[in-house]
Amino acid sequence: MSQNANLNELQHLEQLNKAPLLKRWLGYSKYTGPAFMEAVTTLGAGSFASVASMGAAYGYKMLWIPFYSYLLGMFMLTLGTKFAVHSKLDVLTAQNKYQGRLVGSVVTGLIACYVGYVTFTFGQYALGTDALENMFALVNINCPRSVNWIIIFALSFPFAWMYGKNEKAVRFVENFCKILVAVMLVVFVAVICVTGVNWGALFSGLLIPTLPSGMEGISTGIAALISVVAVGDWCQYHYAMRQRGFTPVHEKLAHFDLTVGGLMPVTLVLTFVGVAFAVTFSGGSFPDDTYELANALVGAIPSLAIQIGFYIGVLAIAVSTMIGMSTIAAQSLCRAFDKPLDPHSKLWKFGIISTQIGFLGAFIGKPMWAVILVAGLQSCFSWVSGSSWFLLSNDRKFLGKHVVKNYLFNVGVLISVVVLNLTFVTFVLTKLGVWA
Amino acid sequence: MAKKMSAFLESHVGPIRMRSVLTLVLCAVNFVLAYGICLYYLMDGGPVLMIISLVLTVALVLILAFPNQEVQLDEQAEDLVD
Repeated sequence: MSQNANLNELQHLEQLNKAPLLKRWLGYSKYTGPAFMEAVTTLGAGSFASVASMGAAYGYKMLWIPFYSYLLGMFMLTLGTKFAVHSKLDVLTAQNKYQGRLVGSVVTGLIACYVGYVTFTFGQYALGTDALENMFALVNINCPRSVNWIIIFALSFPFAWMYGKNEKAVRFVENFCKILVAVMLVVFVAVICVTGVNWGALFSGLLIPTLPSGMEGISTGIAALISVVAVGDWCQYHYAMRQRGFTPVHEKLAHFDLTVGGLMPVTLVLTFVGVAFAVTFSGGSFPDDTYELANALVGAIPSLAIQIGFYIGVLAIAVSTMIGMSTIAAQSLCRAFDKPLDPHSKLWKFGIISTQIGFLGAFIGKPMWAVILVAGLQSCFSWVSGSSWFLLSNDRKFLGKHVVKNYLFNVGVLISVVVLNLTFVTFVLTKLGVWA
Repeated sequence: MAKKMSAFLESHVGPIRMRSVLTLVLCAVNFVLAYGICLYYLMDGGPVLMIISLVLTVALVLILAFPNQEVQLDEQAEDLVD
């Protein structure tokens, strides 16, 4: 950012921070962006498949999961804000300095962010290419996966490649992600307009958490609470704020951004997807496979334009997530090896290019062995990152007077840590054959 | 009360902060909690282990949530922007 632009932004934000609520929010909306980068990383093939199958299986009853899961995730995302605006150190460097390289570089940087997201890009290409093939088939054009993956590459790679090069490029990519989020919202609203929606059941399912009784309820509850926001998402939000040069003056803006750019789009998109599948399949039989499930839903939509719109929405999910995953993979890779966040460096470029290996997902789908391995690694190590962030946020040697001061906020963070601990333990117990 | 809890959590066990030790204990207690859930729901065992570990989890969360009020450490915070 040029110094003049930076100064203007800071002066404007200082005025806005003292302005009345409505004026402040309107002013902040001009500067939002980092949370949208986080939202598109979260809104991927995994969360789409998860809400689609839950909608089909449980109807409206499980719509609360994305909303409450994101609310819980906001405690950690808010810590990401604290670290970004008050410290000269990025979070991986801080973890390395205060807790050791095993916690920072290895667990958070390489396992949670880099290896995790490289693996999960297969799913994005698999979902996106399937949507493209079926969308073209609607207008009698044969465009197989083996060819159409190039469209996803062409729509995602240039944006991931330019991210971080300068202030304008960062804002440009953020704005592109905002457009993709808007596309998702518009098309999925259109879909539920034709499938129909029971508003009473929607609000009840969204706000009142219900779980099956006994063991199934406990397992579902633990999985549900971490199903949307993961360690990589915390880091994405943190590094997106650092790319924008957020300072303590930006802290209130960051909270606004997280609500408007993170909580609202993620909850709305996933809720609309869940509703579409709930209305179409609840009470009946439905395919187990996500792709067949999506295609069966399209079969129930009477309008060709909205059928195409649905696939465009799915494509927007795949493309935007590829951008989000590539950019955080590159940044975490650089910081894990103590290299500067330089988009012109070989390591950064390797990080961006290596995530595009996911294009193989168009040919082989998701490599289940890799997905299981990475999910296992993440289950085993996410609690380490969670505990580490909690300890950093309460360390006055790191944050000085900016440590967490609110008792209830610390309780929220600790509940996230407990859920991550339980995920780790249930993974181990499942492997031991104890947790069925 | 809050200052006493803060002093306790920021005291050291060898080179490690008490807050770090208790965070690790929380993970261990959560392991027992998950095993207690299995014991009760899947193995027809009693609920004692589950209840004790649940109570310990709640207690640890309530203790660890006390904010750090050790102001003297602020002078060592060399990485702050402001």
